[in-house]
Amino acid sequence: MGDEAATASRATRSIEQAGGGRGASLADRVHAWKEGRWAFLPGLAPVLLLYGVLLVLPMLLLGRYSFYRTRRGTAEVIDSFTVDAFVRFFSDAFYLGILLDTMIVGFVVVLICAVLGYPLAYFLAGLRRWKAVFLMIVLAPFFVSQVVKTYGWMVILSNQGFLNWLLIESGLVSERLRMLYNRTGVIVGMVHILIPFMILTLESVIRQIRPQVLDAARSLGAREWQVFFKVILPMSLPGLVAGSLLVFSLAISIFTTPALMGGERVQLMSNFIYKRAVSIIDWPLAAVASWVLLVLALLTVIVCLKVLMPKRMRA
Amino acid sequence: MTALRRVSPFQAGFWLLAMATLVFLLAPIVIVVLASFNDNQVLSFPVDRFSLRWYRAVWEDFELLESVRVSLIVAAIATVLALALGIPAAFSLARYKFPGRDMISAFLLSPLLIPLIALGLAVLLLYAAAGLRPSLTGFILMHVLITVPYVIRTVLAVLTQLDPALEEAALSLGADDLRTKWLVTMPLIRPGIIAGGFFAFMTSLDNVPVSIFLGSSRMTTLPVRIYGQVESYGIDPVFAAVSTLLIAATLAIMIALDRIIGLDHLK
Amino acid sequence: MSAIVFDQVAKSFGPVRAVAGCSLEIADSSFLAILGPSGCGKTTLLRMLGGFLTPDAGRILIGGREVTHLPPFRRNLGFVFQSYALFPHLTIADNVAFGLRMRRLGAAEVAARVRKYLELVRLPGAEDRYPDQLSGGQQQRIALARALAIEPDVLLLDEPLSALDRKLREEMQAELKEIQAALGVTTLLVTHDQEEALTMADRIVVMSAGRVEQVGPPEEIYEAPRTRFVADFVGVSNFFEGAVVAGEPGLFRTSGGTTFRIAANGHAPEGGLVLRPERITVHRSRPAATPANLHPARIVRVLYQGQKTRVDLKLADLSLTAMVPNARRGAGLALNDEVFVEIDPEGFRSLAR
Repeated sequence: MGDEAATASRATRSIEQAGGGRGASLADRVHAWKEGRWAFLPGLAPVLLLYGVLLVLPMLLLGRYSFYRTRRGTAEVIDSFTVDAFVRFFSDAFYLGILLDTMIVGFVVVLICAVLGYPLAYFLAGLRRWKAVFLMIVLAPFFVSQVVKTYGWMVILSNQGFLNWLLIESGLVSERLRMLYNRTGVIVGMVHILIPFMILTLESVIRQIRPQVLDAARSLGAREWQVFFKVILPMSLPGLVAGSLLVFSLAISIFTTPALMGGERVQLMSNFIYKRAVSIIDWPLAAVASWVLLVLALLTVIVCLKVLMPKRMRA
Repeated sequence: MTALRRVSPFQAGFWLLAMATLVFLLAPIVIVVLASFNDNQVLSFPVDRFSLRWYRAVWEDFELLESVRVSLIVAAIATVLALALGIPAAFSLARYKFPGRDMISAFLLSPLLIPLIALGLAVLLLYAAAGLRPSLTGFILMHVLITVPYVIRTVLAVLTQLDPALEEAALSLGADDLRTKWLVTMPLIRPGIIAGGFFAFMTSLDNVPVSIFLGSSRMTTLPVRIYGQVESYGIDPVFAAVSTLLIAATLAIMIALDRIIGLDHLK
Repeated sequence: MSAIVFDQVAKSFGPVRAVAGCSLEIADSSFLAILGPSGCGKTTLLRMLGGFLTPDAGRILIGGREVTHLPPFRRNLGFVFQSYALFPHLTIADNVAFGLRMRRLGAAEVAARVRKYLELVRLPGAEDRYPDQLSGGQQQRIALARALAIEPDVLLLDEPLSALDRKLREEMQAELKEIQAALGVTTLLVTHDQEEALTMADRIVVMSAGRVEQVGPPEEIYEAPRTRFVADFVGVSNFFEGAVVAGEPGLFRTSGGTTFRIAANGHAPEGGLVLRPERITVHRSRPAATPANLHPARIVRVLYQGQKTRVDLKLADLSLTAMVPNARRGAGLALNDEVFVEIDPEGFRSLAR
């Protein structure tokens, strides 16, 4: 056994000596290379190339298009450099109304997500034994396709839908309520899509509040509602702010749900862009609207990072 | 002590609200499943006669099945490519310090936050400007772009949580860099890779705002197809059956993932 | 088993000089501890020896062979990490066997060595368990077994016991020392815990701000610190500023004017004097015989510490700390007692700088 060990040791030694000289083995070259200055590059190069072609280039083109003009009455763009499309967007009450609507819906969605999401996040954060089950209940809707969830809400909210049937059967209302193809429906659908983001963000912050802190508050005479408003809520405020900004930036960008549940009567920015890109073709205007939406979404995120980055490094 | 503490009305209200939210979260899913078994010609309640007719209708709808095939092909290839591009990128971001690293990291995660409809339009303009026709390659690459941030994010998270001493231990025990990566790093970040792949796959399978711009009549993914049909013809019960199948598949994958890596990695 | 040489080794991280031109020799089969506060450069030194960092300048030799630029997997070193770094996805047996398999030893040899080293760390039978099924102390032993199983030229210990509680730590100190002596493997321990360094090592290197302050056996480091940093970092010290009285090499006058007899021990006390607290004897009344240094003092604080009592005293303008062994009922000293302190002239050490 001892002999074998010695042989092994000698074997390593012979490789070791090779490692110093010019005849370095592949392993040594890999190691030396990994310590080198440009070692970070090969991992990033392919993905940066992809982003360059499919993100940066199209975005630049989108920028260029916003300075084009369409020939009056047609979809044809005229190669020019004009702020015509910007002027059209920002001087038209109809377009600005869509922008305002988008933001109002975003705010309402954030508010409802916070009020409904907080208790569940708090409940989840305190769980031990049944955590996996409840986490599954929260995560399953999160991963189910957005079209499916939206369709599900349409089944619930439509005139012949589940909720109308329930309300009429129970005698609460006598006439079927209109809940689909209006703002209420859109908001319900969007809250459902986005509330998991709020819940998960809040849960990760609330979970970090140590129970001893709450016991300290109780030992100092605080009632449960005081413990909540004076200790838990302030301590989870960063999560609430982060979750709200995240939900807002997603809410103003969301496409499928408002497009399906809003029908003709509710038009938000993303649906407006789609319409101007595909049916009433007006690419310069669609490009301007895209930029407005993009800047709004990114501003929200930047505020989020500036406010919260020192506390939480998660994007 | 804790168990004996009286529940205050405030806590009770809080708890009720939490349960109400749970019901809210599950409602559309449960209702869709119920509706899919209803025999009625149009979608309505109550469900008075159980039937599998809508599932038969799904089976006989060749366009629908074709879009399922397209969706699965696109999602599978895009996921593999997203992993192939995302894992090395996450390694570079986690392991090296270089100027502009934080900027690049934010840039690589940006598709998570930019409005996808704007991205879809931008790529449509690129296709128009370059005179490209819709192609499966372009379609898949675009799906790689919107899914690779999920891979980077999850793999980056597990990599930064990994004790650097583990790799150093392997190196000091005589494993060269490749063997260290293969025998130590990879097995330890496997949960992050699986979670990232799952996110990527589900995101690709779910996408409408980008796919809707890049497809063609022969190349329509399932969500775009459902979207188009529901938008034009309203809530056809056949989609309740399709949705139920999708929900079942999603749940099955999630339960499997819970067994393999734990749900915590999917948050 | 090999001697280690650090020859003018330097390493900076950006503007921070972590190790500034450090030279050290570690004898074959000896046990050396590098002691210092966090940020003193001790970990950097260890990581350069391990091959995880490349020095900016200087050379590192193990057993006469230069390893400065060798990757870690060519160095044949056993490294025990502060976090243990056991592979959580491998069983204990696979953890211990990891290095052996990298050396392509046969299955029988691997099994035999795994058994041998698990027995050595007194954890036979743990083969099939996973690291997270073991206690902290047991994980520590497995980490040691894994490092020793490759029969390394040098064993490197990076704060190996800092995660253990006190009692377990003391047991492991003794055990580690025994194993090291039995195997005769050259060992380098990095620690900020002076007690650990004093109990385990044959020689201690005290580092501060990237430089070696003093090298010597534990007794010398404790009894005869050469710099104020060493005296302050290792143990409790009393410092005296002042100068030797002109023409009288055995007499020291503090800046406050108190004089003490000191043993003439060679060099002039440029950096003042240091005195260990156990060299002070506290008398409750004036003793019959008059020793060399006897001064009245007042007790300003008494801290009972089990085997001994720490007594802080005011002597003229000086603040002193004495350690009094506890006989039966404590030291019998109380706050504000007026006492006499006797200082052994041999106890004074002069400091450089």
